[in-house]
Amino acid sequence: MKKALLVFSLCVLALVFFFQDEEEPQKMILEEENSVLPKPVEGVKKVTVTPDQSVLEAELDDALDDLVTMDELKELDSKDVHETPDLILDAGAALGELQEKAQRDPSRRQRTVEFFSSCAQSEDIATAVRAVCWNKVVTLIPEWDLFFPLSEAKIPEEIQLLASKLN
Amino acid sequence: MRKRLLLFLALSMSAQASEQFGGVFFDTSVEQVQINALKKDLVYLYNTPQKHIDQDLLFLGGLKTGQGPELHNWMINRLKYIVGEDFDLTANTYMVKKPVVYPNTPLPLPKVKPKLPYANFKSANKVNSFVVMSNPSGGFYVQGKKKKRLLFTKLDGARAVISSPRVGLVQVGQGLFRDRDKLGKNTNAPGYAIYRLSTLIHEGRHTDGSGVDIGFRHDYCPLGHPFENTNACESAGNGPYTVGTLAKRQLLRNCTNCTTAEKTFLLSSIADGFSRLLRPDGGSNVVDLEKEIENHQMIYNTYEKHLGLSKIASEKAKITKELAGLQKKITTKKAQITALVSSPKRTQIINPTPEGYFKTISLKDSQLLMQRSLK
Repeated sequence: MKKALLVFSLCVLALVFFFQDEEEPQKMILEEENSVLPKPVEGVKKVTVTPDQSVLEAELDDALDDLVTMDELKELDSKDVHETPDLILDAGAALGELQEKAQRDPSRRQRTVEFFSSCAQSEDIATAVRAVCWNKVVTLIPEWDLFFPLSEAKIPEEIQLLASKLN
Repeated sequence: MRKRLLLFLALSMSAQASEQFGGVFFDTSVEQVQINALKKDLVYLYNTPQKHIDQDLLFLGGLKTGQGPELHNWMINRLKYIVGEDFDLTANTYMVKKPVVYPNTPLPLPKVKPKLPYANFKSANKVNSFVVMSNPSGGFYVQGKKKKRLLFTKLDGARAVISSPRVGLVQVGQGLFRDRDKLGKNTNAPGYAIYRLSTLIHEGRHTDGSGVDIGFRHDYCPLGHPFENTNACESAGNGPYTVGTLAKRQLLRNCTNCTTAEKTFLLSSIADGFSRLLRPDGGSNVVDLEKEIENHQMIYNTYEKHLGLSKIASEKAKITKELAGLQKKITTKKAQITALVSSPKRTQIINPTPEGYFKTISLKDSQLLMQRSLK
């Protein structure tokens, strides 16, 4: 009888430990998710940013920061600007990589076109890169069947003209 | 005659077995991996069908068909000797004592460097740079012309006699063969090949022109340009930046296996090339405007479809506003075309006829040279 009681109590203890171990990580995951999601503010529409989107936002922000600027080009020596500088070529390759990612994952497309529009509008970014970005905006809208308010983008005539030569 | 020409080319280029391929002599100073890449590039240029022909390239480059064999012929008439980055051009270039008679044409004038209205300080943080390519042929020719002496460059197994910029002596550097993180390590990929080929075509154009226009030298970029105050722009309508960029665009349009990253890498270089052209009309032409209209029309059609599917009033209003904006743009572009056609603004076209003494390789002969190399 004592033996049976001992076995029973050991089983109960094991079950308690088992469920404690199961619950702990779930709590932690919930806490992690809460920390990513922005807190809803009263009277303001709840922002619905999924963790995936926030990663994409950060990735595109970084990509925009990395694009070559006019000031960086002005720093180059004359011998380094006879051919297209590496800074411009690398920026082109980076833009192409972002387009490839959106090509594979349609959920990235709308935001990628917005990114290209921001790049085309930025006065700091090198002219040639801005033209490539604008060319992407006007060619990808019909290709990806998206709506994007073009009239809100302030693109100088010079950039639009350069972009039109790239087709 | 053809046999004699081939014999002449064979004797002058391959006396001591450096390497020659498709009409181009590679000096031993060029790294083997670079030679292999350039050989593949020449084959790519020669063999890739060009379905989309750029009419501007035909007109400004003096081409008839714009097909691979003709592009290859154009190139090897202008680039015949390639030396590596470590080759000392000054130490290996000699002057013949006996005076020679040069064409009685004026010498090129120095380009005027614009004065900056502010001090142009550059920070000490230098970006690591790599030599891409240079073409000393024109410079050497003008040096010889000034002294009325013939210059020649001693290569490993050949002598490049600089009786014309068309001698086609160029130096290639590491920068031409660099791989890029986002494009992958395979530098034989078509995107890399097109980049190198169009750079060769750019350098090829530097062997054309005569008198004050010899070598199609670059102009200083104006104030406000990313390369302001450096001679990296072009006022001629048919110079190296124009021809090289148009060639790059045509080769890209005909690339059937370029990845999106490769295409965008090339687009950035094409945009850079066009941004260097100093045009009286800002560079707009009928073809570009028509393309802009086509793009706007495609977006218009997409938005019209969205409007048909939308059931939310605010969304519909937004799309309607965009459609009106696009319609206005299309109308404006059409008016610009009419204005351009009625009073075209001409860009300065320089006579590309080269100066000096050189042999022209016919299309048939260049095809023969390539076919022999491919065997």
